[in-house]
Amino acid sequence: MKTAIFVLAILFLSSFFLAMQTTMAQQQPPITIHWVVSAGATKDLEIAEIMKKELIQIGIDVKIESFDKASFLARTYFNPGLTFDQGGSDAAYQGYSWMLTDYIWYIGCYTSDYLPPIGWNYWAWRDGTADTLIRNGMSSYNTTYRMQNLYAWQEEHQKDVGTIVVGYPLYAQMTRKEIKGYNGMLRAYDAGNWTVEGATHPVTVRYISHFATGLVTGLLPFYLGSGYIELNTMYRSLYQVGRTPEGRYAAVPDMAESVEYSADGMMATFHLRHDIKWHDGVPFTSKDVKYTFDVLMDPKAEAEYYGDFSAAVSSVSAPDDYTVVLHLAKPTPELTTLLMSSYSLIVPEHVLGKIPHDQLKASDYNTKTPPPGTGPFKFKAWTRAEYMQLEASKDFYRGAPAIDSLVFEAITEPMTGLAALKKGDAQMLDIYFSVEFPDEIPGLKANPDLHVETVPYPRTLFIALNHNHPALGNRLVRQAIAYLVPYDQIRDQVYKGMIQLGNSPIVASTWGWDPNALQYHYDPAKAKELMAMAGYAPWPPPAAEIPSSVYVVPAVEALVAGLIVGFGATYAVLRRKKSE
Amino acid sequence: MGLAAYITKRILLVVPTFFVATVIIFLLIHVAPGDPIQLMFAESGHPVSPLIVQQVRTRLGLDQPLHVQYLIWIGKMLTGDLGVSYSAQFGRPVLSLITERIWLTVGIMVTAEALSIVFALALGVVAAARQYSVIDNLCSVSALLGYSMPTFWIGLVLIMVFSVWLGLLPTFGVMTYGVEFPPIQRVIDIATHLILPVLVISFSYTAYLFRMVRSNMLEVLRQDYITTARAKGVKERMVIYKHALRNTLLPTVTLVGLSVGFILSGAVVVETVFSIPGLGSLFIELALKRDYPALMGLSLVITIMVLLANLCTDIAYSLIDPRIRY
Amino acid sequence: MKTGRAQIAWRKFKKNRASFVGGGILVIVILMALFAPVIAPEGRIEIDLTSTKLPPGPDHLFGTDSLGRDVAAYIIWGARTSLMVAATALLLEILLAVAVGAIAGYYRGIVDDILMRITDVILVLPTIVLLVVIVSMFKVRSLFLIAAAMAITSWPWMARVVRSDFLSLREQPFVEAARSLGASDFAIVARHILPNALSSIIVLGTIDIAWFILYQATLTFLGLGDPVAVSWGSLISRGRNYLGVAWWISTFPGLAIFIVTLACNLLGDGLRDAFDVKTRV
Repeated sequence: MKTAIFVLAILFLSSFFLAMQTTMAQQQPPITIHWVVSAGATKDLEIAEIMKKELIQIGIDVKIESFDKASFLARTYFNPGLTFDQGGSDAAYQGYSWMLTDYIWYIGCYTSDYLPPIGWNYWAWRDGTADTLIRNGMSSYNTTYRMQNLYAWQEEHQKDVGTIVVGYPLYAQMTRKEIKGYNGMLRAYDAGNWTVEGATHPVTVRYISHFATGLVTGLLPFYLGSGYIELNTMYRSLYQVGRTPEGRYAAVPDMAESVEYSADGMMATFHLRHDIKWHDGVPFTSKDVKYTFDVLMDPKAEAEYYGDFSAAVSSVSAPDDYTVVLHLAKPTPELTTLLMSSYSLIVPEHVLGKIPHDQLKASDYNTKTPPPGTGPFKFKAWTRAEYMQLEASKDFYRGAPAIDSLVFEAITEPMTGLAALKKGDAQMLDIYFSVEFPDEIPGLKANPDLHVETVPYPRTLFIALNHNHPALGNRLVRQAIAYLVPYDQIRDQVYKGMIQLGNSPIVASTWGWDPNALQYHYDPAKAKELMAMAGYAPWPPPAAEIPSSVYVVPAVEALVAGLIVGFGATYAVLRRKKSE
Repeated sequence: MGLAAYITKRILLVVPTFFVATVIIFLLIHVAPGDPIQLMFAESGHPVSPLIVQQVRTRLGLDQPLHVQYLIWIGKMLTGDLGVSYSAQFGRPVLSLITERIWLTVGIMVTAEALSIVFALALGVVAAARQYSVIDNLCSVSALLGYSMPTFWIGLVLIMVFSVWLGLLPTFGVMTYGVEFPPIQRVIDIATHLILPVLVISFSYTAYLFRMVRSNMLEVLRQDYITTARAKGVKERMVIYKHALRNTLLPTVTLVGLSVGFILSGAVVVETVFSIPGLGSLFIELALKRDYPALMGLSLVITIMVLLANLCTDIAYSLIDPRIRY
Repeated sequence: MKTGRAQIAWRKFKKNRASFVGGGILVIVILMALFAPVIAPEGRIEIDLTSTKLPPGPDHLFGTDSLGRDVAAYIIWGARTSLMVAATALLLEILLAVAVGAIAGYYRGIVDDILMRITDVILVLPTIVLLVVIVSMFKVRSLFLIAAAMAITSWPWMARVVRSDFLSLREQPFVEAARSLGASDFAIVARHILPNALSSIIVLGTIDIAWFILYQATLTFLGLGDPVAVSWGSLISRGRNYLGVAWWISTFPGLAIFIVTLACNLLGDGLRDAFDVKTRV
């Protein structure tokens, strides 16, 4: 008797585990792709789950694989072209940010050159077309020729579905209403122009920084990693983002006054302003520029920008105090844009010059106190990845800033940052936050204390597909997938309207964007057509029934449980009777 | 044996346990596949030349065999170099990260612990003395509820109620930066930021302790010598406070010492939910990034803290009750 | 009337109404989990972009989340995951703890010393540290990993209890008798000692289930779990960004965890009182 109960109990336990596995069992779809997501990236996961639901319509089983950030980056960045089973990924949702005024990040970014950190390099690897078009577009100073090639690249990208472009996120610039003169796209480079209406000195402004974009990790611009907003207030570069009379973004001189290119395009001569001083009073001269660029080009310094810069520039010379000559390694039409990157902010030679390049990263100037700069704000205090305090530099060559004290603070929780802005604890909230709570934006726009404006940020969000995957290598399959992305619903539900649907890797209305590139839309019928053309049988196969196991197994469980209880009760009653 | 000898013996016992712990932590983390160098550069979102990647890898000695790395690590650790975090967010020696944050976490833990001990003792003794009374039932039920609630959930609910809906308390962080506060106001500022986090930890811990104190107390009250004292006509109050309480304190002390782990996990969760830059949130962030050099150093420090707490408990215990030394 | 341990325990247990409630809730949860495909057809937890973030109402009892999934259905399916993980962890824990505790308690001597040193070391490492380190070791985040990690961090405690049970049971006359009749060690352990140590295992196991469910949710919430699987912790973590706009996403799953944990604790308390087991060594 006891053994009977024991056996039944074991049966119950083991079928318990089995029962938990029952779902609507289905046949195995013909194509399986492994979609990798980074743990903690909510939107990534949402897009992956949406696509999982859509792609089953054409017989593609999407298996979502979640990894911690490091492994995710390894699978997408450092294992290009490897399918998931080989250690890479089959699909991933990625984003890429651009400069407003030209394409940079050296050509390895979107050709098969070296390190393909992003999806469209899977594409570039396959045949030479994409490579050739981009190289042409980036190697001539003739704008018409450039545009022809860059447009052709974009059109080819869309037809061939190098990646599936979803859109360009709209970010919301969020400040208290007294803050004026702020353009979130310039990443605090315009801090010297910010004003606080109706405030009396001393004026303090608190800016909450998104943990992904800041705070600075290294105080020297060479090592700023992803946090650069604060450094943009302390240092200047030769050129900066400005606007043409027509209102488009363009590169305008900042610390430089003008540039001349040699006839063969291999030499650029910059004339510098004469009236700039470092925060410690020493005048700014060409030797500071030469020093900064020399460090950038020295691999021993381990500067982030080493690859980009040395691909374009081969050497720098400073014939006199206010002239700098860049000898180029290749024709570089995007040179002024290159010089606008936060990585090439100029640092003082008289302070850093004596330090060997390989000791810069570990030096106190990078870890404790930054060297003086030429920007509108001076360094005051900081705690790494927590906050940084800056004070106004009254001798700034474009005029003293209106704000006396500027504090950047980093938080990890988006909602808490928002609450701080609403309460008035902080006056500015970094634009990256707006992606975290798109639902709140309409409410924020209506809030009388705040000034909230949607700005189109130069960033592309796309679904990267690995062209080396057996199914994804087929152009028709990729096109089918592109027609199964519910673009409108993603815009409305996932992004709550804070995204502009796109037709090209290049962001709409920025420099070089091709308005004629093909724009995909949601069309399941077309998707199925394309799959049929690709030779796949329609899915799902007709008459898939709900397997009875869904009901049977739990019923068996209940039966077994009932049996055990019944036996046990009978046993107890019988024993009782026996002993009475 | 004498007190000094006992203490020495306990300290000596801690050492081998500690070393075994280091081996476990080292192996666990090194078995994990993953490349901290990739982590360093990939996070910036900007491609880096492989020349630099290889240079950094060699410079950091990450291409050495495992046992060599362990010995190097132990050597460094014993001289105070707990490793360096290579991630973009921290990128500096673990020791400096820890010294910055440890006081915050220890402060929160100690405050929560103190609050909890006071409440748990007071309520536990009263509840046990008046078993089955209204107070006892009320407290027991509350304790059971508090004990069963997920810490992070209470935290979120409280943030929702007190910060988002009512706007009474600050929403995040440990203090308001960038504003110069006179010392007293600074203290108040920090206090308002920490009220909710400390409350959340204390809530579950008090529940946990209360149950233990109450059951200990009940057991003590069942002992013969208590019945004797009562029979001898000693006032009930004296019975409780003089006799029973003293004997309850002992197991409670042990319990408090051994449940450092409990408070620690509470601190970890609370720091993450409330964005407090303490050791707990650091630990989770490092784990999420698999920044293993830093993770190893931090795990060690936390283990040392717990070992020390256990050691102190043992010593306190033996001070109170000389019978324990053997 | 028989006065075996089980009978005495049952009588005591019957008196404890709270425990019954706890046990009852657990049974309901288990049934809910088993019959999930019937009560909450899978369609309800699928993404439905036309009905995102709906507040609780007649169509959706607990509202919907940011992708249109029905929260109530999600909670029901999430019960499966929580129970599965807790059951797996419990199974592993019992296997490990009984093996180690039995061997240490029965054979004593050097074997006992070594095994106890090992348990000491694991007990020394703070649970959260060990859990987080183990889970973060692996590239893939999986629920089985969490179950295994939880089993690893919890078996030492149970092993000690089992060991002390064995130490005392070992000296009982019926063991002497069995040995003199020529029974093998294994038979003695399996047929005589183990059944009597069962009560401690049952009590500790029930209480541990509560911890497993709680810890699994916490780990998933912190980001160390599998965000793809249907689990309460991941829903709460997803709802974190919508506290002001859609409070129901985080609140209800948390409530579910709370109720199940409470039920396990009630049941465990009742069982402990009934069997009169000392759960601390």
